[in-house]
Amino acid sequence: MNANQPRSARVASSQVGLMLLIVCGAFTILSRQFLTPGNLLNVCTSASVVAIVGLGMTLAIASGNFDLSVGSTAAFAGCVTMSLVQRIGVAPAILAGLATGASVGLINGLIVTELGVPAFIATLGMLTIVRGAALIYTGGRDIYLYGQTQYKILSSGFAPVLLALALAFVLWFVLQHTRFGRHILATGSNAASARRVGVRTSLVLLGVFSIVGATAALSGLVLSAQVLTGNGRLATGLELSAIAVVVLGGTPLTGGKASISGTVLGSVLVAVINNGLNLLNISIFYQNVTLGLLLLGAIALEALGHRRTKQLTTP
Amino acid sequence: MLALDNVSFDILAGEVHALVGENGAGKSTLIGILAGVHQPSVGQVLLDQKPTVFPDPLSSQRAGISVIFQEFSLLPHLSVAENVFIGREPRRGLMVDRATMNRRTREILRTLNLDIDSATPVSELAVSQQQLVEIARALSARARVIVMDEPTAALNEREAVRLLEIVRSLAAGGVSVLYVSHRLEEVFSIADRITVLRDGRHVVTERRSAITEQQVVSAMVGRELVHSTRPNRTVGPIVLEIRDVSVDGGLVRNVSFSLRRGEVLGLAGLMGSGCSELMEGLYGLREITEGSLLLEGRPLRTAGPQGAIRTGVGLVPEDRKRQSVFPDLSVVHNLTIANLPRWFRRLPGLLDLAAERRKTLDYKRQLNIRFTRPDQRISGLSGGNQQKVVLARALAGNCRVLLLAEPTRGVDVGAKAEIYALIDRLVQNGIAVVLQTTELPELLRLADRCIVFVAGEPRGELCGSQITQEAVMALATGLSHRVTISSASASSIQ
Amino acid sequence: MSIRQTDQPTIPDAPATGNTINQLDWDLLWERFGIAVVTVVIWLIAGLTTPGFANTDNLVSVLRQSAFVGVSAVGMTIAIIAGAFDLSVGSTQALCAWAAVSVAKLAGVFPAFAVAVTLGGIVGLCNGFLVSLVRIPAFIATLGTMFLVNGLTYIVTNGQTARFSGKPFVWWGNGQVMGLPVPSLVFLGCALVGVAILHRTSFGRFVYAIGSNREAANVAGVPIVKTTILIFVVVGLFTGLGAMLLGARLYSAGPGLEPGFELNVIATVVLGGTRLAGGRGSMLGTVAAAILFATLANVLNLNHVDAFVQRVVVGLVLLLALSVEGVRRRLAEYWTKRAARTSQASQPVREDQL
Repeated sequence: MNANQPRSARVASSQVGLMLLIVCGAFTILSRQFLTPGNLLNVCTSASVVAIVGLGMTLAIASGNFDLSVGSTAAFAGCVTMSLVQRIGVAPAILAGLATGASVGLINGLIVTELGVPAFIATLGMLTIVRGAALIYTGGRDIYLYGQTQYKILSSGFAPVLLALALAFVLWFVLQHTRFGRHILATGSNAASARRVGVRTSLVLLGVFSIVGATAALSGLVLSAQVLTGNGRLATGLELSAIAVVVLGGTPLTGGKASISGTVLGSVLVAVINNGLNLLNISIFYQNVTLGLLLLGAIALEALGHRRTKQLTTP
Repeated sequence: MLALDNVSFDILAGEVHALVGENGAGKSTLIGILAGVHQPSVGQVLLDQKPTVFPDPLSSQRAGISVIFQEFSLLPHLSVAENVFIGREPRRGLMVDRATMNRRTREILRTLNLDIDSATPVSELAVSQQQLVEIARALSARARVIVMDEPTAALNEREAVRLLEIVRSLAAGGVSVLYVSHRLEEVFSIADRITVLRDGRHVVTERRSAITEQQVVSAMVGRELVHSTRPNRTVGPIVLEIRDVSVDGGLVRNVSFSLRRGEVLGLAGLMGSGCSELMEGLYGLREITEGSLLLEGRPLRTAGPQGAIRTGVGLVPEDRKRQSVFPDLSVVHNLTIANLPRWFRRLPGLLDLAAERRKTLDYKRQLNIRFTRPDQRISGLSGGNQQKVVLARALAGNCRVLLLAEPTRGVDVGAKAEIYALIDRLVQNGIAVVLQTTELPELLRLADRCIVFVAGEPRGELCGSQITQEAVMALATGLSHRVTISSASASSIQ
Repeated sequence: MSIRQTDQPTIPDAPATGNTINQLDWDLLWERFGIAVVTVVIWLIAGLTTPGFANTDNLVSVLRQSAFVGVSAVGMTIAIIAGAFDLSVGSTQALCAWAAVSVAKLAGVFPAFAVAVTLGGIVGLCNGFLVSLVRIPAFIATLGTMFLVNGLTYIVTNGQTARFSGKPFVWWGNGQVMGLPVPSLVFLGCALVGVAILHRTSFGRFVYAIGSNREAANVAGVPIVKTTILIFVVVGLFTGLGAMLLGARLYSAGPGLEPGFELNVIATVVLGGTRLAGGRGSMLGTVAAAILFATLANVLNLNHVDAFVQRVVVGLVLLLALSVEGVRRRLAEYWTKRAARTSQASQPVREDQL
């Protein structure tokens, strides 16, 4: 899906694809319920939620940064939207939620570019602040929506999947075919050189973080639509899943390359594994452990592979 | 001491103007000003006779100046075409117009005789090809002046010849090229005019036809010798022997020499000659991929700096800021760091703070290091005194072979003289020194013997009175192809 | 006269920033004692403005509260001085606290202590291994371990909290010695041990060296790999100890104990004056910052402010502390750019201006 994917990234996403096939095969054998349409829809839906935020995170990682606050942003946006649906209508409320996410992202970007705070620590701090903001906004209570079927659209049927795929296409397009997208990759490839040849890395990063925030918000909206509740505790730990699916999908942590298809496949893989473990009645806690192991394993492979690949030769 | 002191010269349209000078003559600063990376404190840059200011890289590029730095400014993951058009990508609506970008890139590449797919990621190209991509970028930006910093440093002979042809054709097409290089053979084959800088000052600008190579060499080095002279040294038995050594698979090749106690062996060469890499190889920071090293008759296998220090090899690195000094830490800490009790052998490795203080004050006396208290931060010391602390650090390890890389870089005249006297004393006490320096007066002052390197290989050896600035420079710039076979050391052998 | 120049021009004998004989180094003083001063000031203000703050019981409670984050922060200070840090301390704490409570129930205080500390050390060992041998960047490696340990804790505990209220055990979290809470005394002890490690051992020197200039440390023969592993082990050990104290305080522990703990710990260290970039640090600052945070929480509580707001405050304070450096640098850049542009006098181009 990415013509500019160098061999290594392509290999990684085909590895994910292969793993996906194997895992699907295994679960099909192990559980009769796996291949049922209802179950597959479940898998796709949960994959979509992670994919949406993972796609934004792909841009961040490709630019050489991280965003640990996406979970909190998702929750905050969900709360904002839920509180506004009945007052200003569904569509405006959704826009408000997305705008909230983008604003949080913008703040993250400003802290990183203007104040020079490293991205992961800046977003670590924002994680708490935004989570707290969400809890303050809702007063610690849940916001319920009764009988609001319109909003439910976001999470019903194939909507999440369509949203995820549409987003994947849009971001792929941006990365492949727009100046902004190429500059994102340039910034991640070598920020100093990029600045030297005229790329406005600060603006690029502000844009990237805003997008990450918006995708996190979208994810949060879908989640809150699933339960029709605006909850300040929503999506805790989403950031870790997001980073995990990006890394699994083959986008290197060092930046400069992005694999949209890899992220999508990675999301599906993680969703399938979680779903399969559920069906086999394996405790939900093992899912966390599996995810952590997958994450570390993928990164370890990448780190070890670095030593062997040829670096950009300089005189 | 100024980086550039009242330097003035001009570049004509369509000329190849060579800028020549030793390391530290001021070339990099000048390039930086043209690139919009540095700002001149005094003086102006005139473009078409109009004063211009380049507050940032973008403005200098917009004005038509393209700088090709030695380490390039390429984005490794992006394709050739994207690197060529970075920041100026042609657009069709929202989309980048790949077709046009590729087409234009191919056209430019064709004029450069480079036959590669413009969609290839730049990291997959050879260095010579990457360089042509940089030139292509300059061309696509309609540069009027292209600055090339040591362009042939990483090229082989054939590639260098091709580059020179390209430079000639660029100039014929009306583009001015500021060709910064110390390789005089190339300079003389291609330049219309030559400017020599020395110690930050402008020495001469002359048409190539009106100046000889010898005159350029003299202009580059011409300065009075340092007042003190090298004492006659008595050398002892051989302490280090290296044969047919290569470092890192060929960065430096075919090095053989023996080093005796009480002597100073100089390694000389301009940038890219391989001297620093050899020093790092001797210390274990780089891998010795071929050949053998014997320290006092026993094979020396430096497994990293720890091993080197333990076997008695000490290093004073050339980049003090990056490789030696711990700026936040105190003088004592900086001095003792290489010599602490190994905690994993004798937990918990408690330190004897009083003994450390004493040792520091001891070295303060011996090396005449100027500081107020041993526990003051080293960043408050002058460059010369910091360097003395680093020297003390190497000595504290009781080394038998001391590797000195640019030992007086960034050090003032007074401290320099002191350090030279110190080295004399150390050598007199039996330490063997390998001195790697690009500062010729220093080489003359300290070295008993000197091996000159060019492009990773030893080119010639000079002994005793043969070591003159002109002789070394002639070998280092590739002008002299005579290889001097070294006779035995001029001094007596015990 | 032969004058050397490098590619980067330098003024060879002008002292760079730092202490000179006559001036006080305000930078250094602020770094070492600044937070302690701020804490005292806040105590005074709180005592005057907030009813209920200034009585002995409350102050003792504040001191006690500061210890649980504080003990772990001692280890984290060492890590940050070396330029690393550990995001897994929160999950590690939960696991170790649960283990401590469970073991205390079965076998008594000292086995509980041993198990908690050992578990912490093992997690640290894993982190150290990932960072130094597999070469995964510290924050991502510890992010992964955080996830892993979190999951493991849930599995091992089956989601249940362990409870135990045996007197000798809970004394460690709730008791007092001469009016001072036991956890605080342990905290103080840990801080002293931390200082001893940093200033009296080779390991401590290596920590400073790696944080100050990693490349120079390599050239000087510092055993970077072994030191890095030990750093993470130390973080784990201290975290395990703090976890036992917390379990003793709460009479219980289980998965999900204190979410956001890692942020509190890092914020404490950074606020205390230890720079993220490494090479410098202040244990006194860490102690003061731990007390400061506990004080803030206490004041907010007394003023009936939401618990959520407290967490926001921690995040804000952290970002504030981190931004100070960035803002200072920005201002410096701005002034030197202006000076260079408008300067008419002949000034040498200085290395620190480039």
